Amino acid sequence: MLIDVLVIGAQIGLLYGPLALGIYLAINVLSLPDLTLEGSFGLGGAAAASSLLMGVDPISSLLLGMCAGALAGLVTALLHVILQMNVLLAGILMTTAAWSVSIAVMGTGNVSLVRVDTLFTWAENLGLRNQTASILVAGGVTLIFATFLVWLLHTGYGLATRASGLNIQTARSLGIRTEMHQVLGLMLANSLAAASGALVAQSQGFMDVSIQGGVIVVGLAALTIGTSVIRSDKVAVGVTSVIVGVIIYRCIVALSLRMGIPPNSVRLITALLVFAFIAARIHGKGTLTISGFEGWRARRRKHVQFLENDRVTTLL
Amino acid sequence: MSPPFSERRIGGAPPAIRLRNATKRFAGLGKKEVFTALDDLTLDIARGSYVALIGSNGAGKSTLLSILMGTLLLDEGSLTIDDEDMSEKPSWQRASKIALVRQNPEHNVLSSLSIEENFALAVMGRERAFRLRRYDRNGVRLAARSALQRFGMGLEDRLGESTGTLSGGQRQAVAMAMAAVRNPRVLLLDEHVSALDPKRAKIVADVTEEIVRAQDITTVMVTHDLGHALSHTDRVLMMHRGKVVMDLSGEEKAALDLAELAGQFERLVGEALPDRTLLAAAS
Repeated sequence: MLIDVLVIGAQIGLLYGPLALGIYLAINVLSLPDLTLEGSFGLGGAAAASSLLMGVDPISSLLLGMCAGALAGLVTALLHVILQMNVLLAGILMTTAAWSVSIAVMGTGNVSLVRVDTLFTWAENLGLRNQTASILVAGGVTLIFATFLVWLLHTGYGLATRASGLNIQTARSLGIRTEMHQVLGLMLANSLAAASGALVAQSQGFMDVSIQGGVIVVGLAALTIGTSVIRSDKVAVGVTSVIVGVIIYRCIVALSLRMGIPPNSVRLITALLVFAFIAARIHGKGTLTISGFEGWRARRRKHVQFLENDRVTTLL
Repeated sequence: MSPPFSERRIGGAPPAIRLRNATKRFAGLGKKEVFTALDDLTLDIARGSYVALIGSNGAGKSTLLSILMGTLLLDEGSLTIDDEDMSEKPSWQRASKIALVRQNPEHNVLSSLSIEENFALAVMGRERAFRLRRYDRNGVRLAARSALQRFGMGLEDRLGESTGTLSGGQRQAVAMAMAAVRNPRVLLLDEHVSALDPKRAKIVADVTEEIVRAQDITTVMVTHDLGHALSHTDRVLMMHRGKVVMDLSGEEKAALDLAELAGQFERLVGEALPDRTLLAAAS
């Protein structure tokens, strides 16, 4: 059973690997809480599905899906950089709009891809079993993007992007045009999310606009689980950790379903998982241990300190 | 007619910094309330000179530094650096000419990056060339080692460590060494040693002076240490309510008694120098 759970976790988790990389780039590297990634996921799936039905090959359709995601990221970035809109708000608006754009791209809410070739049917035609083909294709695509991201963030340009996400004023005083790094960074992050959408659509043999609903939480789960399990400032380790995170997340979901938890509760499990990992990260062992009076006082002091800090940000 | 004292030049050389009728206002708490941080300020600073800015809180010292760096833009007036109009240029475009070391060490270095990576950004920022290839590690390491050795803190052997693990004094030393590597035309120091303990502050201040003298960098330093300013810099500008009210250099500065200076300042502006400045001068 454990092997089964691990295989299913890897099979489905790796489809979301590029999305996890996009979340890592937007949230961890650029420090921009961009919710557009959810819309880009759907948009990528819609653009890939439409182009497949128009006779485009699976690799080009994946790339077209990524271009659609990059465009969504560009609009969000311009809303932030030019219209000076809060990234969170711009992302919410873009994700809302992306739903309608996805339907417009496909001409309908869902399309079947059963009659067209996909990356996965290509692999199956080589004699691979469905599950193996899925793991190899999704794993291969995730590995290519992960390698690219690690390479990029180690270049001079990537180092400047990392600096832009750490402290804008310091980065600018070092000669970095931070707004350009934010724009290109968000385009790349959204194209990665779109690649995941395209992979999911190709993998399941149909595309439904509803696949984007709540998918940002999958990425957040990958990020919180991954960075809790493996902590490091190193880029290669960070990239690996989010991929490990998304696989662990899917393993936990697979295990929950095996244990008889109804599929409708998957989102509740996801939310609880994210809560649990964030609580464990913030409070450490103190989350679960019953401490004495001194321990309680120390935690109380820490909590008061949190309340004293400025946590107010304006959305509009 | 002789020029106003704020336009005086050292040695007759053309100025590195030329500020004309510079005005900067900030909105106050009330809708119509306006605070004028820089008030029609005209100022020339000679190439290679080491200038101290002194004044009480709200005098406009840090605003002036922000205007020079480009993190704030002027409401009125103009700024020329090395004969290039900088009035509207953003800070990232000025980085090849200007470096700023702030009071808070956390704002000078990127804590999640290693010392080496911070230096790599400084070296690449000098040319504004952040390319799609790995930076020259040997060149960066060599430059970082040679700049850090001057501070005698052993930082040159810790290039792979995250700057987040360093103390405030060590981070300020890294920030100054990064500025030295960038070899800017203008260096801005915003109370860069005031958050350090006296021993570290002296080391960083002394090496700073060595660097700016050796590399002939035009330096503007905001400080409350009047004694250090009078004895180590070429020129002392005393600011009050957005204007330069006293401009001391050469023999005039050398001959001045601290008590007399404090008295002159008080007579001119009707307010005493801040306690912090007087205490620093007395010590």
